[in-house]
Amino acid sequence: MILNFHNLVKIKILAKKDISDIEKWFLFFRESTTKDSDILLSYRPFKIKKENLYSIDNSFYIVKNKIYAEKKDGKVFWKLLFKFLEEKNKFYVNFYCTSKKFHLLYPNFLLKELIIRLLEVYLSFKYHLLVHSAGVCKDNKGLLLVGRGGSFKTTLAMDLIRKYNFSLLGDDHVILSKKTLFCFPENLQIFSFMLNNLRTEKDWNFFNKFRFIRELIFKKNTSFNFIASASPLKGIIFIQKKNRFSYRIYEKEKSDFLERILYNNLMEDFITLTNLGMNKGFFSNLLCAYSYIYPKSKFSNYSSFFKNALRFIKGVPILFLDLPVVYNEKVVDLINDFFNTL
Amino acid sequence: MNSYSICNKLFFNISGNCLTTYFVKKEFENFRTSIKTKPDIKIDIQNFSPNTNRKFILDNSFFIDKTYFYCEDRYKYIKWNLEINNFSSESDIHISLSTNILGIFFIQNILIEPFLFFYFTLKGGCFLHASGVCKNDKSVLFCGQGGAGKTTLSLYLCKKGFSYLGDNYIPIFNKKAYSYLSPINFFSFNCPSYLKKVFPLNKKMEFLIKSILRKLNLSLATKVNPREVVPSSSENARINYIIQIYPKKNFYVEELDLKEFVEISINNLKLDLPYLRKYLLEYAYLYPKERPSLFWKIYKKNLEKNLKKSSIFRVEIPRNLLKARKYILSFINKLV
Repeated sequence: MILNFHNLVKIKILAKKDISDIEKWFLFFRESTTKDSDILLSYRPFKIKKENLYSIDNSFYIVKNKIYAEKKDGKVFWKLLFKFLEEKNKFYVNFYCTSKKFHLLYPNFLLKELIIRLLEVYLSFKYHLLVHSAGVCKDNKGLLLVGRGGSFKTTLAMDLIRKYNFSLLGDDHVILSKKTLFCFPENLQIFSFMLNNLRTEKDWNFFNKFRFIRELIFKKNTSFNFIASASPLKGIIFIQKKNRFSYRIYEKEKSDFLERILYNNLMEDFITLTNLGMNKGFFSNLLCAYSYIYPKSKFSNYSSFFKNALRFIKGVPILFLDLPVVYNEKVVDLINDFFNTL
Repeated sequence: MNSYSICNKLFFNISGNCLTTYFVKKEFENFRTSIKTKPDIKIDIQNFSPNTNRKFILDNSFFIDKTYFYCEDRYKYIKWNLEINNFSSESDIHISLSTNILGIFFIQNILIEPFLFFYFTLKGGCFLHASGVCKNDKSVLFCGQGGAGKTTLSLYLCKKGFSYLGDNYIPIFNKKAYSYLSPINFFSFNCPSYLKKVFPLNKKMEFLIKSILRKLNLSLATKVNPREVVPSSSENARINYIIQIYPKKNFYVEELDLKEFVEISINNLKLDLPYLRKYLLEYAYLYPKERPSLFWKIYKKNLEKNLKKSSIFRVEIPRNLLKARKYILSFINKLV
């Protein structure tokens, strides 16, 4: 399987298992052939000799340009061999995992998470950034919605599309390249189902999952005409959930917003996989372990690459939105008003 | 009665009336102090109701404000709630903590110690993930990740006439290394055989049971007070030699410059304190310019300031620690 992300990075995945779920997740980026790939990912069992490697805490094994990690955590076992050529910016990855946990729609969930982390690091070395936030656009004006988990990013994006005819760039990630946002739609089938049937993200419960699967089986042609491919970035909204009853919209001192986007990205590694055996920041730990042995490598300061990618967006108008615990639809109108002033 | 201190620099109290409190107090029994002063940190270990009103909610489990931190978190089957008032200041900090029953074995090491390091660093000191010994007011610190052989090496050197500073963490300030007498965590793989014979009977039993549990993939340490097993310990010493150990194949020494060593130490500590790192990132997302968010920068600055006059070596040792410790002993004897 080949995934081409806006010609910025190409991933080739060789798999022994069925990975049609990954194919569905990255539906938008599938490509049939490619001459050369930037990241070559092999998803099949492999063996490695550990004798001549530095070992750290019996979970990381490292030598120049090579990191091997393995972990058995409850019901999940995974191992990863990450090879890279620092000068050429090419990644070779072997990954394999077995899980006794049952994941109906996405059995290869860990692989998908790994792909996202690899993309994030790869893009940052090329001065792009895979921003962890939602993005929408209209009339060639792009808007970033930055917020931590549970801050209604997806719901707001859905409402902006339904109510004000925005197009989607991404509901969880967007690629920022200089001042342009490239779309990063993931999990499109579920997003389009939610868009058509659910009022908020929270309604994604067991009953609706059942409806979704039924729809998958009986309805063949779904069109994704709500997606836009790219748009210049014109505004950023920080969405923050606050434990109170009313919402608040304000502008404040903006000197720290680049750092906030940066920390938002770094945090993601600690949150997503807590139940799947890759908890406590597995990918950043991998890079920490490598820089523990080779402190001069560029992995030791990879967050500075994030910062570098962000420096182009200084001066973009920013708005802060404090949302109450219960979702309030009026906020969508406020965002639209802000958008119209850009 | 309940006053504790780390090198008379950071004072803290431990209170509460549950089983976990008992275990935490036991962990810090060597840190008791009779100096009467207002504690910098009050640690309260019992059930509590957090005051999360009007706080920001992140990832549905963190409640954060400029001076407030509350979270609900878990590691495998251990669950805990942690509330910190006056989070970003250097004194008058109030930590409330409650855990489920499994917390009694782990909570000291994964939460309380990291936050003590955190506030110790904000007050101008710093910590190394290292073991340490000294002789004639000259100290040797062995830095390394878990499993690198820190405990084994320091205990071996203590047997050979050095005095003991610590086996896992070494506090540093005013250009001196201080002793840190937390219990030594023994597992079946790092306990030297001569020590097993010295253990009192109850520790012997505990060690045996835990060695069996380890085979069932449940790793529990037998905690032993260093005062029971180490012939002599000293309070502090100048930092003369730092040895960064990497277990590999052969014995190999090279010098390491301070800048590189600081970078290594930061990564070493980051790997060792995942929860502190996670919580500081959550806070930094909201307040990137506040002091807690600058923790790693402050740590770096303090470390560089304190280690300017030390000689630092990067030493690769054989994985077989019986072989390695002999090389290390002859290397150290040449130095001291």
